[in-house]
Amino acid sequence: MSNTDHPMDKLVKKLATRNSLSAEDKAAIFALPYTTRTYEPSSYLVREGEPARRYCSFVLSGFAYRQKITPQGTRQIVSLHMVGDVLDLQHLFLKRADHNVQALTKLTTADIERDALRALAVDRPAVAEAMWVDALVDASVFREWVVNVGRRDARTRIAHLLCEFATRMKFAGLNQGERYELPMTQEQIGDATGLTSVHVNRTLKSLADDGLVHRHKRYLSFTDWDNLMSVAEFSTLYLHLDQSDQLGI
Amino acid sequence: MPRFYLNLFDGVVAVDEEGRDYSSLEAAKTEAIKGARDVIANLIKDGQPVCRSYRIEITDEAGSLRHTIQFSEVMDVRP
Repeated sequence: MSNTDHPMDKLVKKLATRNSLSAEDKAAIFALPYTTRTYEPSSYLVREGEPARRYCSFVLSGFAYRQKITPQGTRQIVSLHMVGDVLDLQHLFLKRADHNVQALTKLTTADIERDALRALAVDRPAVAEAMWVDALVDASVFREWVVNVGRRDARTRIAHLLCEFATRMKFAGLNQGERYELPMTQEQIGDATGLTSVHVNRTLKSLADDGLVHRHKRYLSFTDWDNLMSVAEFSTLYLHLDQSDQLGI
Repeated sequence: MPRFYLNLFDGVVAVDEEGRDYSSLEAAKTEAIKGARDVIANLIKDGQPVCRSYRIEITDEAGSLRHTIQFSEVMDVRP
């Protein structure tokens, strides 16, 4: 098997966007013990309150999200994840899960033994730095989502979510051109933006009426990307897409 | 579980092509009322008018109209 077919190649590629890694660093990642698992849509990977699992999952294919549920049963999706994303790096060091992680679509993960990953972080400072940067980028995305849900109107909020999703999918090598299948129902988009599904449908319709997106079932294409970005007040800065060249401090 | 579609008529006509499975028509009505209130709240925030003709039509998989939620019935405006 060539290295590019190896599940760990996806993790190596992702961490290499977070910090420059040497050939030895990459080889050490490839040598990590892991198990692949498949989850059906909606199934839980992590539940709030549970002790940390003995392994850390990263996404090989499909989509996942982090969410919290209020005592009234209302769900807020707080982040979306796709190929290469590490879903619970925080449990390398935190003892209990403070949120839920759920599969959005059919999801395949590589689950790396936590102790081995911790040992790698100690032995290989460049890998530790890459993981730290990854956690910092996660925090930056959370900050942007707080602004999105707290201070943007429905139209800007949804446009922003679409722009982020498209940009991250493109960076992860997933979408072809400016057309992609949004793997989210109206209800899920609503949970990510703090809106009802009726309001989500209305907003997507109004973006389509204005010629910014074209919608056919769950397929979305961007008919006017520049304008959509401006409606969304979207800038890629907070995604810190490629940190590897800038960190040689 | 039956699938219902919540179609919005509030100036923007937003036909629901996706729909969602509900435990009953009552559950779909509850969601429609929440949706209507969400849309009304945002119209008010944006300084837009709310018209009496605005409504959500609930249809089933056959496309038959099962119930209509009028915006005027989900808000309580007093003199």
